[in-house]
Amino acid sequence: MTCEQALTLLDDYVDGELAEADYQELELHLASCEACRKQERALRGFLAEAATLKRDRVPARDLWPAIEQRLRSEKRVLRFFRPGSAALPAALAAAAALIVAVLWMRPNQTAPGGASPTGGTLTPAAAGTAVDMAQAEAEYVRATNQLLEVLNARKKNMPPEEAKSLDENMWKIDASLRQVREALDRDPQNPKLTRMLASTHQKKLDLLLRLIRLSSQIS
Amino acid sequence: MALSEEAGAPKGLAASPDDERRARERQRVGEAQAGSVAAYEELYRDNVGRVFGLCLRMAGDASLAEELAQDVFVKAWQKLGSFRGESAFSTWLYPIAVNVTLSERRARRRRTSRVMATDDLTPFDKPTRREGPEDRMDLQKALEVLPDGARAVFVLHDVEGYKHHEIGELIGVATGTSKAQLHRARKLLREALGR
Amino acid sequence: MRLRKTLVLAAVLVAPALHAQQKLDEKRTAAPDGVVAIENNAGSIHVIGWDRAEITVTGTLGRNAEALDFSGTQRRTSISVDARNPHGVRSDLEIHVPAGSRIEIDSFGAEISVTDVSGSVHADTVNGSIRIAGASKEVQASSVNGSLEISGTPQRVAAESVNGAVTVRGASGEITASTVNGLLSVAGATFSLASLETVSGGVHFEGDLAAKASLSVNSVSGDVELILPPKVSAEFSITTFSGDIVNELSADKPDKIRKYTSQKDLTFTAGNGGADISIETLSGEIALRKRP
Repeated sequence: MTCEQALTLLDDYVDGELAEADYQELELHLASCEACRKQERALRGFLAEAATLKRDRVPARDLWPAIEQRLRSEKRVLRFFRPGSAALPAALAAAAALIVAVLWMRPNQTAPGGASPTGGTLTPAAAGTAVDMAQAEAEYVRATNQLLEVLNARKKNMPPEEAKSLDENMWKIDASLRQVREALDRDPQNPKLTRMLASTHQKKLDLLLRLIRLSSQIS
Repeated sequence: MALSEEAGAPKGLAASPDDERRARERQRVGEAQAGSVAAYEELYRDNVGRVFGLCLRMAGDASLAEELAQDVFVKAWQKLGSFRGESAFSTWLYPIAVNVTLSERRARRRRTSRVMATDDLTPFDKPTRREGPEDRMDLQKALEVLPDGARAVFVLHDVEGYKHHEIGELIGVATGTSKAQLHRARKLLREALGR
Repeated sequence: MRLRKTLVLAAVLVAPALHAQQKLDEKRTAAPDGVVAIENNAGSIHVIGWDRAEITVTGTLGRNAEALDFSGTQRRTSISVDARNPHGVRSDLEIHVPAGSRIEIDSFGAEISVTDVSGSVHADTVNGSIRIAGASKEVQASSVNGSLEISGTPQRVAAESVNGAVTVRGASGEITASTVNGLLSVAGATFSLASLETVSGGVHFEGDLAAKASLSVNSVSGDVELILPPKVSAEFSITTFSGDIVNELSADKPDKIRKYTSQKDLTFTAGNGGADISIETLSGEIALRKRP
């Protein structure tokens, strides 16, 4: 191998891209050629310096105002977020979690009738039920109202068919909620009805959370 | 209804500062995904240095790099819904930045036609040498005078650490072309720097 | 020491002029069982499995779309319609993928179909409909206003719609499905877990239950119909508050357990027990029928 040939192979050599045969030959050549070894060292030194280029740089001016303006002037496509992806602001997510905790983490006895469809322990059949349910319902209503506020703010930016569909969904769920509440009023301590009311509230909450995640937002 | 499980730290281990940082970042990402521009600003602040650094290296020009960096963050905002939190935000953001800087290059070259793999890269010019021993070229400055194609390959390979086949896919050239570009870029840069 | 880059690469195709529609005809190689992630705001997305180790995208890119981003590695390919303002941008994508691919689709209003794919399918949309037919073992689909139609032989199904109907045919194993207003209809083989929920849509279930299976159905005002094999072995626990119960599986009759309300409970054991079936409605009618 001549020095000229060796030098053309140096780049691939330092990158580890040389085929086995060339690699052996080049190593042999380098072992006995100071000039080429010097070139190799220089190349490696140069590449080491190149690697240091990879550093953070701060722009001379703050780019955020221009970026923010572009974000606000764009409507983001409605994105669907997979369950398990990052959720809403902590406060709202906590509200949703609290509701579930209030209703499901009750230690008491199971009501008659067999296994609960959702697998949890039934809410207690004891006397305190009506009062507890009222409190739990108040929590639900508060959480859903918070979410409704967020959603209503975004309704303005929705195309009209979407806003209409949103209203219809809310209306239908509210109609079902009313039905369950009426039944519960006629039979106030019924544990299954209590549970059904709670789970319908939960469905409404879930729906609102989902619609909020989907809606485009420019506040 | 998730069929796959959520990734996360195993329960029961104490949170390290890294875990805390990731948790905070995930919180911010969540808020930004829900539409919070304020949360997205936090993500911007944490990542602008890295993004701008890349744009500067690729563009070779500070004011163009500033425009590109903005484009990166706007594009990332548009694609935010597809970030599933499986990696750090910067890991997800980086290829977007590479993509933006490369598309801009392509768009500038041939705005009205589809860009496919091309081997007809602009011929190399010798970079101009600065006069005088006191004006020693440094590597960043030398990069700026390299032709675009050579600079892109050099930055992607020798600075960012991409492999040739990856660069080939990114830029749309054959692996061999990428290697040839790289070797020439190194040669030109070393000549300009006197090394 | 150079850090090895994460292998997410990009090769962006630029649309020619901004307001025309561009025809697409792209191709990339792909692993036989890689992930294909597709994003298209509106229009249509048709995914078809084939026996080549290749992904092709044909169709048209909508007006005001900036580009089709068709990129990635052999194991993870991304196909996404990029637009500065995606609202109203409709593109029609026909995508052929290796049959073993795993599919992930995100859309707002596109009509979605996936056929002849055996990898898992995850598809989410808002207004569009989703039709999945093929050999996938795991299917997850959700829509707000669109209908979901899942057929084939999936063994795990998660399907959720608000207004759209959810129809599942040929499934077995585990299924979780819910609607708010849409009709929920599931017919399949043997299930180990079935959880079906609606608010005001109807629920129709036809299938068999494994030995220790659990089937639960919840509705507020939707009617519920279960069609089960005559020799089913299960413990039934059924409640309706103002609806009716029709039991063709056994001679058991509901107890009216509360004096001043119309709540009816029906509990009985069919065959040797074993599986667990619970149904609850507020006002929906509940019918238990034998499969012919």
